[in-house]
Amino acid sequence: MSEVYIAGVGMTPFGRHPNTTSIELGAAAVMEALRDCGIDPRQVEAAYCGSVYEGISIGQRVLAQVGMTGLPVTNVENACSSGAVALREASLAVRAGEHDVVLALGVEHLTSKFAGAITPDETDLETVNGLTMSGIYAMRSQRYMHDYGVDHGQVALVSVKNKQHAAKNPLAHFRKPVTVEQVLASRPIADPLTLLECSPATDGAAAVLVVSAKVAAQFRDRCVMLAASTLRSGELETPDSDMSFETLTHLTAAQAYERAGIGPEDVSLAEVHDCFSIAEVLRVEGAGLFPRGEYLHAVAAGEATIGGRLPINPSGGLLGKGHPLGATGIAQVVELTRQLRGEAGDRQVDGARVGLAHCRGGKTVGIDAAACTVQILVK
Amino acid sequence: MSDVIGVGPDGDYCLIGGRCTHCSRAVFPLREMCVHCLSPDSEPIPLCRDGAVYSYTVIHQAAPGFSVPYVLASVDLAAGVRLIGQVADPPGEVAIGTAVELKVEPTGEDSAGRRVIGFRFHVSKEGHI
Repeated sequence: MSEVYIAGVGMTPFGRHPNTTSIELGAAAVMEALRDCGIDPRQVEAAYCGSVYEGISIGQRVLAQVGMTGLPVTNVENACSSGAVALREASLAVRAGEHDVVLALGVEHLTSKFAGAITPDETDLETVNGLTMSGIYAMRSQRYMHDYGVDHGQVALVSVKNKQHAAKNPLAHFRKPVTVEQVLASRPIADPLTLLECSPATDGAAAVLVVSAKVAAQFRDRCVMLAASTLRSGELETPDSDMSFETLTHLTAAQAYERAGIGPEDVSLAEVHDCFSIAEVLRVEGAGLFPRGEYLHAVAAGEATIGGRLPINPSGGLLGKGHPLGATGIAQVVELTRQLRGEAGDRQVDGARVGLAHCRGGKTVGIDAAACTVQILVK
Repeated sequence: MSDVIGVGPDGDYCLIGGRCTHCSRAVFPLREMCVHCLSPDSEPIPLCRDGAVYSYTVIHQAAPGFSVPYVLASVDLAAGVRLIGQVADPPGEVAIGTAVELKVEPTGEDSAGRRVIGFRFHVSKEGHI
């Protein structure tokens, strides 16, 4: 298979945008990605757009606002991995030799769509029984704390760290650091999870240009290699399933390491799907970035903070930067690209050479997740 | 829910799952093929009602239409399936490992005021197993 590269990136500020539509957000992100590498818009041959709640033909609606019509557009819904899967599809089209320049974008105007808890599909039996996404992760947190003998304050440190990172990110939804006491004292959502351990409803959009090696040669100093982009779906939960270790994340990451020809020890920074505090723990241990049961000790020791051994979510993650569902997976790659280029400003990770992005979302009855993706970017 | 509720050997209502005639493993609900081995030969079985709490939470923020707080649990049934459902008992009664019994019963009303039949877990009188 041929090599693919990320050439241009763009994203809007993440946050509440009551006076801006999803179409305007998406168009702003696409324009920034085009300008970022200076590519001629006429070179873009196809587009893939990730979203969850944006309705019919969101990709075409955004691109019409940009002024790009006629090209093949594919809209992708895959729960919280929608944007990441749009990027994967774009990369496959380039790898296959079908196209040389493909746009991947993600958009979500979540604050106008949702109030209260987000759930899996409302007709699923588990949702009918009262399951919420926060409830799933609350049960995982409860079980992890039980299995590894850690307390709630240790889990809450993940929120403290990511909001500390977000304070350095001008595009983040939350730019105010919080203390562990504030996290624990915030409103209960699903015990043990509190409000500040849950990613917020956020509006935003992000876009990247995926290009072939031939095109990348024209924009060499702007390009990073997308060395792997893998996707798996969830598996049946049985009494043998271990809620404290994500086999799905492990398998998706293992496939990505194999494709990229690297191992977890080569990763210099990662953007992982911290939709809830405990989620980050499960992601990094599942992906082999930290040993099982040890991540929270590493967080407490500062190893996962910018300046530490292996910074996790330097952008602020979903907890700090925000979580506009369809845009999230693309925004992770925007951050990693800027980090690998050395353009991340106050939150620059020194020596960033290999970045890993992980998304995981959704649930169907009896199955632990809908979709999990891992992308590996190499300078 | 009608396709997943039946009557067990003791004459009481129970959930209906599937058991693969090839690999013998159980699933809920019954699927077209066995999730474990893709054999097309699964048969419906009544799921026994005894189980243990694998993990749990108290939901304080729910989807519209639910009254909070309520206890939600992931329960391992002795039949070999893991199920998510509400626990009828108050939060203090539930912990990891608590023995529970699944009961098919009215769980609420729909928007037209009709009773909704579903399943809930009740803490077993015997306590922890």
